[in-house]
Amino acid sequence: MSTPRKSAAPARGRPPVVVTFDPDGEVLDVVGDIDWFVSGGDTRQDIYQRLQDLRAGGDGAPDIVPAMQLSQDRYADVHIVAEEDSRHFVLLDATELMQVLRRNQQASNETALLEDAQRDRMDKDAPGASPRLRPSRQFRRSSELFAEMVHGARAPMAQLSGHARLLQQRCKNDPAALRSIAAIQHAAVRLDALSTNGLISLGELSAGAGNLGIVDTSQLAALLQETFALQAQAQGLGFEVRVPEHASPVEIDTLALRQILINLVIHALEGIQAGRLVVSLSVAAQGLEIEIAGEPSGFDAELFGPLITTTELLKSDSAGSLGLAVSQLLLQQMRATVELVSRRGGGHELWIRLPLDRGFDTEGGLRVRESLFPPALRGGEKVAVVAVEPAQCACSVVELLVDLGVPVVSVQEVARIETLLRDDALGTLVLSSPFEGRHSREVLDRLQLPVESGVMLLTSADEIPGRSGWLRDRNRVQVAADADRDTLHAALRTVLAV
Amino acid sequence: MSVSLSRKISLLGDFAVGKTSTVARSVRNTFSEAYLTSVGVKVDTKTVSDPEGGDLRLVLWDIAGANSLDQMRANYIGGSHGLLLVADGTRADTVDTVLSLRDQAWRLLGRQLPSVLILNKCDLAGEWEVPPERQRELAAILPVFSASARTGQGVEEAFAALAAAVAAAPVGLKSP
Repeated sequence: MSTPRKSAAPARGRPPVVVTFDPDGEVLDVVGDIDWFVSGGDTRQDIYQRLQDLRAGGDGAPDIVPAMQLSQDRYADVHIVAEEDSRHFVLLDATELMQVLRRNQQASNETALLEDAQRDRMDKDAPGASPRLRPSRQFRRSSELFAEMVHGARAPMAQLSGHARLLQQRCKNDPAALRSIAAIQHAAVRLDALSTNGLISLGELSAGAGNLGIVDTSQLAALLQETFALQAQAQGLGFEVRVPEHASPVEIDTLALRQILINLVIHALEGIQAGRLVVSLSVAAQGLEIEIAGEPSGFDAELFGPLITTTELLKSDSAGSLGLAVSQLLLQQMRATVELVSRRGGGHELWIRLPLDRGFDTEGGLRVRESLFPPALRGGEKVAVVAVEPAQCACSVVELLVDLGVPVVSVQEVARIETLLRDDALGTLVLSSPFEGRHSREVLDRLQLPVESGVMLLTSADEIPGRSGWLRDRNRVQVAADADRDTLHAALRTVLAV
Repeated sequence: MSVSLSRKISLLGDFAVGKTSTVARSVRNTFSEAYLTSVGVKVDTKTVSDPEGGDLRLVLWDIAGANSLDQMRANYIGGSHGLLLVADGTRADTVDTVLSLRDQAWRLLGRQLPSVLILNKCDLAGEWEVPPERQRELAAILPVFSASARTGQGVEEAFAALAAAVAAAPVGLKSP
């Protein structure tokens, strides 16, 4: 078996990996970082075996397998290319996307199960009172249908990228062919962006604290350069990405940041006629700053103006750019400041500041900029457990937690909380009083939570002194059950940061 | 010398019926109380003995739950030799869903595949929603196993039945 070697150039967020097998199933060659796909208790050999198992089907076995889980929390779109006696497996990383989808799907499924259970209870309490209607599930399924159509776009995209990758290996010394290959890869990037924009606009993906990752701005600059430089050249434009020499890494929603940048650069390339497009990335005390400028003339105000002048582009500008509208939504979710700045020489440039929860100091140590959620919650190892009655209130809390990017499980029984506790999966508990007919004190006595667990209690407003609507005592927050959304949001952020 | 054959089995069912838990119980003899939804597809293998003393390697495609086969899921099931249908016995509508998925799969593949139905979560007797007469109706059209991924009850029996049916079915030909 050959030793994996590093690939030459990235096409997406992470370069594709190509694994080649001989007719006997032995690995002939591995190009790229196969170890990225090895996690949990798996070995490289397990991954190779899983890939080989894809060929176990009879006639009609797929050559493209989107969103395959290769090992724990590692996903790839797999494209199988047969060549004479050997088979190439092209792996395009889909990990970030699938993890975010899984978190959202988890919340959606938990809510649907909760609704089902409540409907069953109502049926038992009043049999024959009314037919069993499932309006929210119908809506959910309709929304899923569109999301699945968008997902479908990823299969041909994987095919494009896979073939381009293989061609690139074979045409290393042919500049003309390499230019064509780069154009194919650019098309794949645009398809990828379109697919992700679709998922975001359908509400299947959102930016949030649950998707944090470490971004090195120089690596991000290299990715943008490789993705767009050739396209800009084909348009007769220059393309430059500027980063300070010693820029610090930052912790941010990596998928959202990449999507914003890709959308905005594609949009800028469509709107600039001559000169050069310059993207500048810098890390300041207040956050990550991005400037997108057209040199020397600047952009027309209309190009990026809708980001500033129109509140909800996704809803109000259906004929406009989907990429721009989705970028606006993500920027809002990331609490960004966006300005259109007039240039001295005429025209405008776009300036964005993304606030950061954490950054690295000059010695490379991680420092906290503001309250953040515990790593286990952000990483999905633990969940926020919502044990709240009535169901409408539970749904509101679940919705807020999902917006905050926190994995959430809604439960209806104390026994279920005990099970999650036993599995060491409970990170934070949101508990109403009463719950399952018991006062919160009684429930907490029974649970015997670890002292470090954050607890938010939803109680009668009479039990909350003062006007704030909530109070905190060490790692316990008490809030009125009928509190408005902003109060609940503030209380939740506090308890999650415990 | 025994010959090891591989057969592709697709797991179909609505969300949260216990497909992944069933695979985990059967392949690794593990179970987790925490519900973690699946996305995309995961491939595992399980080797069983066939009636002639050889090994039959079942390649299990654990496909994320849904109530219909969209383009992506339709792509996953291509080349399947058998279907493991999983429903949640405490949610009666998931039985109708999985039968509809089976019919859709047969249409897409252009042939009928050996199929076995697992009515999962039989340990939750107090919440069971599939009455005995319905189970009898189901048993008349395909092999049905009341099972529990939590306790392991019925899981191996269902896999054994499916393996026997798959081994007996001529590859690519219709099967009852």
